[in-house]
Amino acid sequence: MPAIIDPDGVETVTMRELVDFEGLRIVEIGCGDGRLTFECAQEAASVLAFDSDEDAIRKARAETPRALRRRIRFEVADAAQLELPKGEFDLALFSWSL
Amino acid sequence: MHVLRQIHRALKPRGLLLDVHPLGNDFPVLAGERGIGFVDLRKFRAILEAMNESVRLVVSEDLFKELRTLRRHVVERYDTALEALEEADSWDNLRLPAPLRRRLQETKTTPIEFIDTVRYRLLTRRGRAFS
Repeated sequence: MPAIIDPDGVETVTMRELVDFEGLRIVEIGCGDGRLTFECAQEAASVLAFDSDEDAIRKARAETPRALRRRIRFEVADAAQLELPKGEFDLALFSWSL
Repeated sequence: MHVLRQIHRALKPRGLLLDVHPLGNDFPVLAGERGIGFVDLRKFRAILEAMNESVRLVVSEDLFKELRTLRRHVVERYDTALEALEEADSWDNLRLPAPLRRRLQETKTTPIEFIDTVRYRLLTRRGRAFS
């Protein structure tokens, strides 16, 4: 049985206290296995999520809820080598990865 | 720095940056409700400090402005001490002090919880033109 991270849901409550994700175009750096990505994507217009860990991205893709699949794109990439389009996103989320 | 400049360029004017990071304090470990020691984050703090310096730099360059910061305790819960030890063995920059490792090896009390303090820092993009 793997760890339960944040069983009380503190992270998502705190993030929502700071940002209303409704309709946002989000880029996430350091998404890992998508734990926070899935939360944001419930309300966001889209989430482009990166991590350098191929295994984590594979897991995130496999575990993406069907209802969120059209809104999330997971990519393997190193944050230091990212090339992103200009003026495209409303929110950048750095999950333990700045 | 490269990534923060990339993000500045990729965000819309007045776009937001939400940085979610552990604060870097040594964090407590609980077996059941009893504290059994602290994880040593000395090495990790140096990495965090470099990250914080990058943020300070882009704020000083007026690329971003800090809006609000919150701190919260976030729990990582394991059903057994063995699982917690396996997780700890996968860490690169965090260290279990020997007495804590021994207590984890000996305890039968569950669950095991790591209680980290996480900082949620919200910044907004400054400047009209894309850099």
